[in-house]
Amino acid sequence: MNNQEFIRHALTDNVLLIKLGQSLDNNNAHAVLETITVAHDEGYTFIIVDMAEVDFLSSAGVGSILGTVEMFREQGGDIILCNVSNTALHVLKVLDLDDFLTIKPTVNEARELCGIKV
Amino acid sequence: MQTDRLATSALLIPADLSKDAVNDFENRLQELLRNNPRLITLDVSLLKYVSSSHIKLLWQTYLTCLESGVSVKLQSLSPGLERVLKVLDLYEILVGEYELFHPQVKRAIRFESAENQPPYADEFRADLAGRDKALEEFLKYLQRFALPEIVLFELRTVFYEVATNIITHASMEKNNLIVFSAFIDSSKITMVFVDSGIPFNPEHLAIDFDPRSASKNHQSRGFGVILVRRIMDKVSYIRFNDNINVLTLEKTWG
Repeated sequence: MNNQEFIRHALTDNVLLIKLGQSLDNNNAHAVLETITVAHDEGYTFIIVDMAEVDFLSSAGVGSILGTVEMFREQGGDIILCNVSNTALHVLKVLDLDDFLTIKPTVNEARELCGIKV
Repeated sequence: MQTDRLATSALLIPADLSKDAVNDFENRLQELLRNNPRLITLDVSLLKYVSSSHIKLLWQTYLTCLESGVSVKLQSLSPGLERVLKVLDLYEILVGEYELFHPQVKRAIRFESAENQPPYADEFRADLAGRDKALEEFLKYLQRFALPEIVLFELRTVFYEVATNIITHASMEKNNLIVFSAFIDSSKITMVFVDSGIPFNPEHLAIDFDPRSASKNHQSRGFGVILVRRIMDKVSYIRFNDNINVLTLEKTWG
């Protein structure tokens, strides 16, 4: 997986895991936003975004999450970020989004939040 | 009887552009002009970096002198200032033949400047490949300083966001260059972007936003300026000659 690629993996019928590469920035933000939007249209209610590899998060990357999260919350779901690095978390804090977005330390904790037994 | 005009007079351009410093400079300029010199030499050796305010001061000084029939030449330019003046098409006006005819003097000035802590200066094409290469070089430069990891990340973010914004929204021709310079001292870093795209002044854009309302409106853009303005302590902008944007960003340490 290169810097901008990401992997889409269905965990259940309504939970989708997106594993990001090294960055979520202007190069791939639109593709991530589109993937999340398509997942919503396909009936997924929870998206888990695994950011373990992400060392650079730009404003466009933030936009791909913030611009789509409400679609899921309106249906009782959510977008859950996990394995967020200190630098990515810093960007979210600067934008006052660390409390607004749902952030979990690990994928397993994110899965639990979606009702998946680990 | 006509009084002979003094051949030259020298004036030091201050690095600190506080209100008092600018007032003092303007007073000294008026004092020199009263002596009716033929040429005023502006010594810019203190300008280790160039902000939009410095450019404005140089230009205003030039115009003031012009109105009084006095020529102006700059001396002791740093490489960063030289690049910016060239992009602004001011180099020939402010430096002119005096420097061009003395290449050995020019080399000496550059060497002297490099002996001191050198400012960072680069120029790159207004495309993503140009941005990525320039960012890589800037990060190499920053590694000379013992900056905390989070500060390095913030500066990387600011460079990325500003350069991307210019490349994406300024409608520049692909071959046009963005000039970037930076200067670090014990109190702050100053980053200056100069481009020839359409005007964009981020100085007065709101830095507050409501995440709840942004998400309800499915807003996915427009966070870059907020991010940059929240990371940096001071952002200033001037539009120059109606075709050049100079954006200066400062971050103080601690």
